[in-house]
Amino acid sequence: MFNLETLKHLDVERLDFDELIALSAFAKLLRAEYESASEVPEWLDDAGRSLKRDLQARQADATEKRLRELKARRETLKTPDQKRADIDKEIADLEQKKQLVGV
Amino acid sequence: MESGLTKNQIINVLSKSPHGKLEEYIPVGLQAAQHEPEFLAHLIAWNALKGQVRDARVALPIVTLACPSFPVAFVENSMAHLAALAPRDLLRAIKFSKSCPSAGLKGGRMRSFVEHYLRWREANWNQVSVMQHRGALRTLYTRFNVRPHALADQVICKGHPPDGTVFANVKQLANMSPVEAAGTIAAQRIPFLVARGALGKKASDPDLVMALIDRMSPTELVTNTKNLERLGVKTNPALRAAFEQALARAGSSKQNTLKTTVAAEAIDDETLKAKLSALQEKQLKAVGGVDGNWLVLGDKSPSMAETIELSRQVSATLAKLVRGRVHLVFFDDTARHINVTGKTYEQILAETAHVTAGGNGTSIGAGLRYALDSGIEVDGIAIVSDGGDNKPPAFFQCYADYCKKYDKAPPIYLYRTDTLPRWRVETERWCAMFIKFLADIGHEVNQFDLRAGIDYYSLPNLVQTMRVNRYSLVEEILDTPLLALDEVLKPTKELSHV
Repeated sequence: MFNLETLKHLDVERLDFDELIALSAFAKLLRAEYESASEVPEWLDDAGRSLKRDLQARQADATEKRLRELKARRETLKTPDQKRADIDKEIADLEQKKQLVGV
Repeated sequence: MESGLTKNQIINVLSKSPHGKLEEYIPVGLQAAQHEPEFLAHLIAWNALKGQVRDARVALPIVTLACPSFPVAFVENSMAHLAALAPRDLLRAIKFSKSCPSAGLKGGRMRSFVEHYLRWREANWNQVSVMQHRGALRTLYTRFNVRPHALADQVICKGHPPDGTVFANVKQLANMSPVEAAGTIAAQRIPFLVARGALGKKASDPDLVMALIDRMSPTELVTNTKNLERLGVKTNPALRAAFEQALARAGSSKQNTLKTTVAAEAIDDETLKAKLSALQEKQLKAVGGVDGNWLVLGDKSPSMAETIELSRQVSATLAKLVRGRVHLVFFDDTARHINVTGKTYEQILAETAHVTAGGNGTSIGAGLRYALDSGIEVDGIAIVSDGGDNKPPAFFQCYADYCKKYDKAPPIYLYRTDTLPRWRVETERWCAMFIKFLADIGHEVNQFDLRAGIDYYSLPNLVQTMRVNRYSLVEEILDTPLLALDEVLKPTKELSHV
């Protein structure tokens, strides 16, 4: 699926999460082979770092997305009473704010 | 053949996108329906499975029904493919039938067909489909005087859905908080277009953008990428993740490679352009279908600047569609070779950036001679040129040598481009000779006529029809089973409510 060229000319924007994972595994394997045979080339370390950074960023993004999804889902499960309570709380907060600024 | 049209010509003409102008299918479609009815019936079936142009799915069945001599044995196939259309497309097909010259499926037969279609949809109630096609369904009910079932009447015709249904929730979306609306869209799987329409200006809230991205089809995703950029898909982490996940899902889609090409061109942002370009490559790979090794002969003779770009595009598309090797050879009266196997359009562009139109004439043979002398063995040849083969070595001689050396006759496809007005008459003559000389030694040239303008939108569809065996696509089409009406509108069951 991947060749050395993909890794040498790494462009993370063109790869989806699964491909990044696969390429990262390939890079680690390649690094281990280089270590046992000769010096690890600079481009391989650069690619490895770039892959790790992008994978971490995408995982953080995915977590943020999942969190928002779950909050949205929870919102749909609220009963009318819970929704009313939320509105009452927001009204109370706004009225308090209004008094503080003296409007 | 009586009609003067070969099967390959029928495929070539009907593979192009008329961009909504369905009338463009009538002349060739009617000829094919009259002289090659069995082939056209199978082509309709093949196009429904493998074709990329939706217009052809809408227009071709109607064209066959408008042909008085179209055999009854194939009429059911046409009807079945009409029945397989979504309501919006069926309505387009019915409107298009009015511009066809003959009666076809009109009057009582059409009403009875539409009633059968609507009754089947009532019995197989699909709320997502109803949401997406409510307007078209309402038009079908009213235009053909079909009395809707109670639920269909409430939801589709009167627009008063029962409380607690997804249809009622869609109406409430605009009154919900963004977070609740996002949750509702996700939980009830409300289609993107329906949700966006119901939300109005609220749709730009990040929670809602995230939910909408998740509900986009691959085509909707690529056509809305520019808007999504404006809404923060590059800067907001949750939106970034939603976009990445949607791109990964779209990667396996075979339906929208053409739109991805257009969308990628319209994007200025380099990151998003790269993402769409990578998506297009994955979609082309998913389409597949073209085998063997290919040689693309690109004309770079004087005035052929546009042909150079077209050669890059054809090579890049082939490089993704085929598993074999792809060689690009630019020629004027000399030749220059680039191995483009597995390369992206951007890589090919970078390698050929300095290739410009020039030289001392056009020798398509020079390109093939280069391949012959360099030992480049291929199974198919795509020539991108105006066909004005006016300098030695002559192509037909080189081709004969090539066939002899490799003991095979690779099929020849000519992407025929226009030339300068002052050279048109002469080029026409050279091209006719080019084709005749090959015909004289028993070889056909399959032409994609692009003289009226190059439509990059249709290009992947044309490339997809190329085959290393000149008869294999025709065989593949003829092997595609015809469709029966009962296979589409399967026996009905009781109406299931939402």
